[in-house]
Amino acid sequence: MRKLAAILFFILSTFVVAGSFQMRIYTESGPGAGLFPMISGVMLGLLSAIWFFQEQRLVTTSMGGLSIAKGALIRVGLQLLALSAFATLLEPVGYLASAAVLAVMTALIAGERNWISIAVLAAAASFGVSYLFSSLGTTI
Amino acid sequence: MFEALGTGLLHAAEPQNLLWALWGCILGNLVGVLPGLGSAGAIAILVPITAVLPPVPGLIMLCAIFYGSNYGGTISTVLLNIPGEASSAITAMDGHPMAMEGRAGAALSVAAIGSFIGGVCGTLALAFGAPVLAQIGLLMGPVERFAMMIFALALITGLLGDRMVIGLVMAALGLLVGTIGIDPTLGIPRFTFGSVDLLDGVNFVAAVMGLFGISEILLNTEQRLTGKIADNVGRILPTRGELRQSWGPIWRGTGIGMLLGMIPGATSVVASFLSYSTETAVSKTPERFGKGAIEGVAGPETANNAFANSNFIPLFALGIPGTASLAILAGGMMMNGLTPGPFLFRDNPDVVWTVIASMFVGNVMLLALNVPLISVWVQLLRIRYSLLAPIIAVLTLVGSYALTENAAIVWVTIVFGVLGYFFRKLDMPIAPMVLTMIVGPGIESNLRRSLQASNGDFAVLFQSHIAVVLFLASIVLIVWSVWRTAHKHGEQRVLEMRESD
Repeated sequence: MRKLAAILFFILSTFVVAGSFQMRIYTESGPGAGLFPMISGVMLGLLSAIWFFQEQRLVTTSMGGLSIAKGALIRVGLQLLALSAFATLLEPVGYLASAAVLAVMTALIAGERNWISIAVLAAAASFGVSYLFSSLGTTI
Repeated sequence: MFEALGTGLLHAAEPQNLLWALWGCILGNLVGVLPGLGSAGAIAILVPITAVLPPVPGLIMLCAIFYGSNYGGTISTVLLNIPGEASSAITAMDGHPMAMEGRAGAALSVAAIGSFIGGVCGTLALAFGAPVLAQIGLLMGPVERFAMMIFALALITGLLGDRMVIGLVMAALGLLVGTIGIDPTLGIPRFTFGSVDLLDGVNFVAAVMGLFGISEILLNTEQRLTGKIADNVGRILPTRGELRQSWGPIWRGTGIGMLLGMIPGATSVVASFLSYSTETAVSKTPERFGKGAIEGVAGPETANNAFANSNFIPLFALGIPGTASLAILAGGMMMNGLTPGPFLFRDNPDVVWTVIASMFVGNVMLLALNVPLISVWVQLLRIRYSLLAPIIAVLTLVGSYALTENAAIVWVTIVFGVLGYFFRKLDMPIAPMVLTMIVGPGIESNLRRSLQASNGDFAVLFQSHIAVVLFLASIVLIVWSVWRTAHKHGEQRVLEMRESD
């Protein structure tokens, strides 16, 4: 899996270097907007290549640290769904409802089954956090 | 200097500043105690709360959260055997066996006393060392500053040992993330893909909230975080014998932590591990270590906190954050309109001296919060993670939204959270990326200023003696690190061949 990450970083670096040339490396007034991204991109590309060959020399039998059990994968996926739901709902339905949804979903995913606790949590996460931020002078 | 520190103490003692320091200490201790949230994650999540305060109370609170989380981390390490921080891992070796023997109270008290002494000495080093270093920093031009930042990067990645190449990859990635947005000199958008939200660049705080906060939630969700708490804390205060045994380790830990804290790139893990190995080396009964030796708690915990406070020296004096937590703290300072670096002491002396003075006050507060109230903190450990996770998730995303009151920034946090999750799963160090995200724009502006002055001639970088020394030191460090890694791999291969024979 790390080898794949190294390849992805290498692809990213080629994209960055190509993009930096479009921004111009040098102008009449001195270094252009593309100079620093170009240097960083070249660095990233070279290092990704070294990293790839380093990984190539290692004998790995697993997925290089990314082995996840099916149940855990579902939980992580659901947690991501809960976080994305919050970001999507935040502006159309408002903070209180979206925070309550996020709190309930996260509690359930984390294994909480006591509905009274979940209700208290949802209230604390929505009204409590809203109160905390408004008392500090930020409206959410 | 004494006068400035005295004035700072007077400001720090103002009721409003005391209150925010206390809140910071309580919050820091709280997030440190609760398992499943490291110091960097805690600071990242709480930065938006401090951003709405005026600069001085905001910064006082942020610093208090930082060192408070270091204090609190020990409690979950000793009682649950779950180190909140990598630097606390060594404490678990003797701290948890002590807890299992019913001596958790003594372990935690000695850790709090050691942390207090280490923290105060570290702050003294900061008060006397940082202004001197800042004076030197003021004499530096863009070339020297550029060279110094490169040296700091070499230190940060060179000390990663086996993972140096991945560390450098992550550092390069951080540099690239730092270039997203409008070019500060020419006003050209870079890597924004036509998005208006990216014109101002990737919001640093939102990104680190994802990298540390969201990724931690995802990891804990995957692993279903649980732990068995040691039920019997025992007597709170250590016995006279235990105190006698702890004095030596506390003072040695203070020295080790203070010295290492001054080096950008050295980590608190190195400080606590070095302290532990020193204690095992000087002990007449090293066989007790790993089985509940109080010296194994006193030394590393002291070193850890002395390191945390003296690590502010490179940040305040040179603008170089030594660790990921301090990089996030630097981001918080910038949100409050303060740029860490040599100009901080010149342009905002009242702010910086008040903050330094507040660290003395904060350490006293933490001692008072930790020793008598240990049993209260212990009760917090009984809260199930399934009840904490929703609060952490909501606070992270709401905090992110509060930064700009724009839903797009929430997506930035989530995207960086997913990236952070994969980085951590693949054992890729996030700290170099966070550090270069914060120092990257500084590196670029100093490089461009140097090249502009020389009409694009790169030779200008080698015309300053200081810069040449720093570049050479960076090369030596990287080469030494590569050689050391290769040597280690060679030895391993020889061993493997012998075993197979």
